Amino acid sequence: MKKFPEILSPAGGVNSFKAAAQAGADAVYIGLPKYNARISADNFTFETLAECVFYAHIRGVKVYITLNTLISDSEIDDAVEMALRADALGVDAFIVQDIGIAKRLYGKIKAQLHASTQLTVYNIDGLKFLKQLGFTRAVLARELSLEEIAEICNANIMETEVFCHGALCISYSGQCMMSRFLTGRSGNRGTCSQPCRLNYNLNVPDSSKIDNRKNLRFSPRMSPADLCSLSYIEKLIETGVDSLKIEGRLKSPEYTAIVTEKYKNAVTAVANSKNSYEICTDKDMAELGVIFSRGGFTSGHQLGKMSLDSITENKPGHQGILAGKLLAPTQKVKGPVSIFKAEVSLFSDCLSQGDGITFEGGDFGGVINVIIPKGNKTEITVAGKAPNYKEGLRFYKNYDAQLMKNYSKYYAPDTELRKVPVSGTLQVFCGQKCIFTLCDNDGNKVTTESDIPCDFSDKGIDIENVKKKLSELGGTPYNMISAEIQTDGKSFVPFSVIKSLRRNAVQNLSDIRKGRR
Amino acid sequence: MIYKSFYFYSIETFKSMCVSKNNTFLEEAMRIYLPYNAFTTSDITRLIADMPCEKVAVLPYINKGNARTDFANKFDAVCETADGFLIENIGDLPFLDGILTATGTPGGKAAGNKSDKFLCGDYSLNVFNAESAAFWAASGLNSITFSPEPEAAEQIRLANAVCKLPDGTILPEIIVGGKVIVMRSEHCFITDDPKYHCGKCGKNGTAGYTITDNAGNEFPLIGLPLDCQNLVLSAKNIEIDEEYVKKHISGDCILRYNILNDYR
Repeated sequence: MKKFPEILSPAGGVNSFKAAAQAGADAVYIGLPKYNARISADNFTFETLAECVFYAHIRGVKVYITLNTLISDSEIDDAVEMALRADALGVDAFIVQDIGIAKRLYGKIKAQLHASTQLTVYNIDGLKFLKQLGFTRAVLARELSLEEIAEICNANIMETEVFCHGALCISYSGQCMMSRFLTGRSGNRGTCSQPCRLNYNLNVPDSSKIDNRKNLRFSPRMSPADLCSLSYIEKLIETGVDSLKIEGRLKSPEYTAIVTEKYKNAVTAVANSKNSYEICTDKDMAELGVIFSRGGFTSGHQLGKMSLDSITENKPGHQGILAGKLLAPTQKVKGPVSIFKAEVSLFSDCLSQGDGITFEGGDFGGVINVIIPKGNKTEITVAGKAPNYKEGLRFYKNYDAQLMKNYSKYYAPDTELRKVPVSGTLQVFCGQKCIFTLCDNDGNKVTTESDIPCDFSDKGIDIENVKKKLSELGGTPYNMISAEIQTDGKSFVPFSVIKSLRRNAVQNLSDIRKGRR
Repeated sequence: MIYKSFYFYSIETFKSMCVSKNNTFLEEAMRIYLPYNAFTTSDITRLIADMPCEKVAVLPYINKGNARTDFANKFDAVCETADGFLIENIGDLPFLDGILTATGTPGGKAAGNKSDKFLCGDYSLNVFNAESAAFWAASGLNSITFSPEPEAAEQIRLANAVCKLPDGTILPEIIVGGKVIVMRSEHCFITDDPKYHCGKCGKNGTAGYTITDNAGNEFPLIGLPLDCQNLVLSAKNIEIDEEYVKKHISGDCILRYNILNDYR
């Protein structure tokens, strides 16, 4: 039977965690305050970790802890203690870089050990090595082609995980000391200063060998665009990989929600044999682009060696999607705040009030206050910094107000967009206790019963109304997909009893689900 | 006891250093590390044949693709003169075991070759603590080069801890001079064509390519032409005073000098 990979989403904080779970993630990876590769994220305390593990497990979502930095002798006991404490809270796996800590944890934790991409695993030999240390999954290097990934997966040594979306490193992960030697901040210790996003000159011993002088200029030549595999997700699934990982613990909860939902929907569509154009649409790509992209996306090395086009030419940070070009010099609007008007040509009907734009060539742009169509031109009023005029200067939409609003609901309090399907059976027989059985699709079953037997009633119970009452699971993570009533037709039980049975069953089922691993 | 080792990024650098110093520097070397190709180059093998120091072949920096195939094809030849191998990646141990399974039978040439070869672990294995070092000791490595990220004092402390490991002995090695590889990239920074050339661009080896940041830091690039990959080396040399190490080390330790173009 063909298998389909889990979607593994990043969460730098509690809101991102909820957003990931509600958007369809099968697993979420997070960090504790120490020993993880994104120290500057909010991360999680043990209190928030416990809450999130319960929240996740009830909804069928796994939780992985990133313990993915190198650890010194003075830190290792502390790191082990932290891991044991997290293990006791029911986390499903630890993502580890340091061999020493893997050695210390093996055999002492119930959670799985996953090998971080920081262990630089790029071939079958690496997996063979990891198996002896008790690892059950390897996050493969981002530099692998689909063919190489498939070869590793087909070897069936352990589970495999690959990045499907997000920032790429230009160096093999775990092998980059650029930040450490430039700034003292180590990428292997969670404090990378991202020197790969800076500008560099290329110096050549013999300039006559250079055909394209453009390549010599001072530019972010080490800064690749972000990876996006949505357009070829079927091929990625075909490799047999077990998990598709989204990078982004430092990104917003809306980012996590949008990207998670897109990939979850795509995997589901592939599983349902949908056509390619249904799996990845232009709208999907535009929304991914506007939420975060560095001048487009790249397939990295997955479809073949990464080309020079994948290096961000001008701006290594978030740029968004191409929106239009300037037609005339901007005009400053008088007032205390920096506001300007601009006459532009839009490339598509993609701008709305509240959206953010950025111009090429520098930190110019801002938020659109007013947008007025004028024939084949558009006049926009922007609160922000006006660019110097250059004919045809292009600008990008780097913030979509409505999109952000739509996806902020994924982490709003009491949001339940993702329901766990359950089915229930109520038994109502005269003289016997009323029994309610609630089951989920994971084989869990709970039964609750009334304190007193059902009364006689020649009318019996209103079956449709009782089904309706049983299905009232709003505000819980559950959705009743089928409710069955078994009765002798001459018994009665009050709605208050039915509601109580339902409430207790839901609680009992949640207790089972949140404790599972 | 303090030992000294020299790590050469290229065959050319080794040859020119031998010529300029008339091999005298090797008198103080316990060990030299050379690219594995050096051991299939006849003038190098002639040069090193009678050298008293250990000669260690460095496995491919990124052991996949054409580099992996090339090394496997040259393995037997390398074994003729190399005393040991420097592994760069966690997969290299199973990889070496695999070559022997493919090419050697018990008592055969390759199997016989292995029995007298030793294995060393490079800093790319990211040994940061004694527990990791103990693991590699138990895996049979002769020596382990620490990650150069920690400060000198911490590396010395770690070396002293490693010397006292109950799990087995492994020689700690500290890089005290020269440049280290700060990036191993599947991407080529040297090529000036939108399509890379699969090693045909001619811009490979230690051919003097560098990148410079806006502070003037200059990072040497090394092209790996077999798979069009690049190494980026540190702009500054590591400079840890030998006497400082000798003063604080309590057990055996190797002090390593990485040689790119010249020897100070």
